[in-house]
Amino acid sequence: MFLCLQIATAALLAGTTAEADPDWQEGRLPAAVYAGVPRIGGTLVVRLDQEPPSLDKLTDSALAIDWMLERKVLESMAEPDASKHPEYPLKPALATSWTISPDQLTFTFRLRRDVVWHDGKPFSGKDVLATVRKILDPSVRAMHLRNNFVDLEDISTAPGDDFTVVARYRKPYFLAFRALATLSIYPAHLLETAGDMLHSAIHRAPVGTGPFRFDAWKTGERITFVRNDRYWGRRAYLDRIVYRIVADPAVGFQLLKQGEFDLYLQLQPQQWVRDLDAAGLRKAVRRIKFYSPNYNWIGWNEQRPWFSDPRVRQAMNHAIDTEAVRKSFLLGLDRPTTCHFYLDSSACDRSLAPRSYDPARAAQLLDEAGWRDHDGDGVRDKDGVPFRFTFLMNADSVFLDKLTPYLQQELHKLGVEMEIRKVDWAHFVQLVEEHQFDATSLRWGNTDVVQDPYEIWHSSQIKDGSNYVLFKDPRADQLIEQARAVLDDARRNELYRKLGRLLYDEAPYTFLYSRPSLDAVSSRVRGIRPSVVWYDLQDVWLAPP
Amino acid sequence: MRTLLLQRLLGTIPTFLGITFIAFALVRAAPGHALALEGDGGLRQGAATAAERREYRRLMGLDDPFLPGYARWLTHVVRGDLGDSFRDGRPVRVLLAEALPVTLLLSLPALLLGYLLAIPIGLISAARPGGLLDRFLSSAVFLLYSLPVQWVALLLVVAASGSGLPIQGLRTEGVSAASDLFAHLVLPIACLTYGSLAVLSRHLRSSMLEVMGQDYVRTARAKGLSETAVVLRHALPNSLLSMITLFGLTFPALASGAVIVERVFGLPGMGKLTFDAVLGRDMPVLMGAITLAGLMTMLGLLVSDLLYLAADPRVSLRGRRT
Repeated sequence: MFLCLQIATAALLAGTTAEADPDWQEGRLPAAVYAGVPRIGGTLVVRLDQEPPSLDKLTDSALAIDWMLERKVLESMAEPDASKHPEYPLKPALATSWTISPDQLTFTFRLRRDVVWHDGKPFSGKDVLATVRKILDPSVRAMHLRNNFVDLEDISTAPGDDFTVVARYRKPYFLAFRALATLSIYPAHLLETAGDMLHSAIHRAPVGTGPFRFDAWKTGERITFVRNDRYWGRRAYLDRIVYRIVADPAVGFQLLKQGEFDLYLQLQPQQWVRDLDAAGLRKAVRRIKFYSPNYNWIGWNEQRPWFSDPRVRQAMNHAIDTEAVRKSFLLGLDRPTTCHFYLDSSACDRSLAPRSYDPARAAQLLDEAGWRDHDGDGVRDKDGVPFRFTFLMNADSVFLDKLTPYLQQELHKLGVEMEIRKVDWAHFVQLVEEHQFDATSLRWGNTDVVQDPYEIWHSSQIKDGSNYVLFKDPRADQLIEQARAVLDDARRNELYRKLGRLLYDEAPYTFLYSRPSLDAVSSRVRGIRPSVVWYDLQDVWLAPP
Repeated sequence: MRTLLLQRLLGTIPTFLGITFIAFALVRAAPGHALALEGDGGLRQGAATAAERREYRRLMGLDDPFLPGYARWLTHVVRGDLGDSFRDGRPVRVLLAEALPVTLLLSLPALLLGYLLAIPIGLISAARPGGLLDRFLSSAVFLLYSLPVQWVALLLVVAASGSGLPIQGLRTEGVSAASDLFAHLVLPIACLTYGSLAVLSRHLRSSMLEVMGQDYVRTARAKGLSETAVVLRHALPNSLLSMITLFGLTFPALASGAVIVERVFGLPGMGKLTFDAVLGRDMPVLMGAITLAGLMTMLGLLVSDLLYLAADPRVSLRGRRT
């Protein structure tokens, strides 16, 4: 009787809270966030968990640099429209319009004439040229950007018109346009003397054209930006943005409880799921959950004897109860995926469901591939090679710390022995790049929904690219090459869905999940909109207390 | 006196070469990519590929043969140039100058406080060895010693939140009062101090006990001096000699920082700098930090030698007196 009552009360409680605020539960922002008349003024304090090495997009690719600078401090000719999920088409920014020639080799951008740099100098097409030239300069550590400009034949301003930029390419490539259009533009007059960037002032104190300008960086403590009152567009509402660096998650959470943050980045899953509510923060903060383009995977090295047969790789997939893993190890927050691309984009074929947990099917596939226990020692073998391999993992990974022992157990039941090897991140990256692993797991991340699978899946990328698992399939190569020349998103995504089907069948990866960004925002923050391109803080304002 | 100092200083040169040579060899031999710090368990698509990383290694001189590499590093150091960080391109000298004051701000007060607390504890314990007070103090300092600093630090953070005591950073933004700085230092210094109490106080206790058994202490007692006078005037100064040795050994720790305390309390000191340099294989920074630690070790030995000279009349410049 008592028990019944307890259960009933619990159900009632759960029911009421869930119904009272489903948005809060799901990490969606309620309509109230976008209501009211924006108010000017105030400081937004943001928690950052890792200090970036610099504030220089030309030399560093740390995510936090993009967050802080893109569309806030530095601007590009065009920018992804954050309100148009999930395609994120480009909209004008420093350029008012652009044209693409019929042969798709020449791009012409017409630029705004009313833009000034934060230091007061006027902006023009010369700045675009200088930025591209800096990226192409081999003495600059801009490898991560240079990739997209390899086929650039020439870039110049139109004769007598510094506000028209013309770029010509040797061959059509869909990312070439997007990369140039969304390239953060640096001021030519400061690039001239910036050398390799590492020793110049703008390496840590960027000068841009955006709605906020750099103010100060106190190493290990905070990075501050203030509103740019000479901004060409609608001015931002906030006076200042302060990024406070708090590395320790427990300490960060204490500070959040004390009300020290307006926007808290990177909550840990259990903090997001349980601790916020338990700390009585349901009124004070709103939870945010969104998925940027990323997924983690287990990769099987195809040149190892065990994993050369797709049936074995499929069997590995069937041996993992991905749904149970997701629920128990990841608190059900991560989204399952079977796709290389951003999972909300039309490049993904949603009919490809994750392979079911099916040990019997796994055993059958292993048998079919010739991996049977011929010598009766309890371990499957083929041509005298026992099925005994090593799983290489990054020692810091909390998720893999749980997943690998589980996988070990499941495989043991199938007569497959797996050892676990943990190494630190710097060493791990090296081993994976040199293909020195049997099986491993990593996460691919991207800041744009448009991406080229070339570096990861094309067979030419085994040497020196990111095709770590040595995947080699002429059909895939052909699809990838064909898609590169297609600038139309819909037509290209059709090719990518075919590629997706191929990868699903060949199973070079066991595709796992897309990890959410788990943030929290103070209830006084208005107009904030999460998207794959992070937050646009120029629209954010603070409600009066 | 001057010749002794000179001798000592010259004697440190081979030690310095030895330390840096071994450090250079170890750092160069460590597997793993420089620039791999930004990871978070994932890699960004479109970021540098293996070929580009190789090109970077070459640019940074990581592919140079080992001995010429060391020779070049050494000649630069002699000229006062520790190189530039791989990670952010800033001179290592600047990074050290930024981190060292933060670390000293923590370690010097912690060391002082440690000695100030440990000496009375050691004295009281030694006064009646095996007595109730001795047993209580011993248990207490060992209990403290065995508490993991990570746990204590987080406990302090939770306990302090709401109390007005800051738990993060060195200063409140926009406040420059000394009292604000002091408030920020309370918790980290507490964390750095409590563990050293056991070592220091037990060390003093045992050397006190040894001294208390000496003939001259018996003589002092026989002269009819009070116990306080015996302990403070005759036994304590002699037992402090062993504390000087200990001081020389703890000296290098002053500049090496404390990774955990710095991380929890958000203090960008030497611990964080060195730890990040290890994770990111930032060789110039790592070598800079090791060089600094090496110099501090040698300085510590020199200082304790000089302190001996001042404290112990039996040690002299010209060898032992009879």
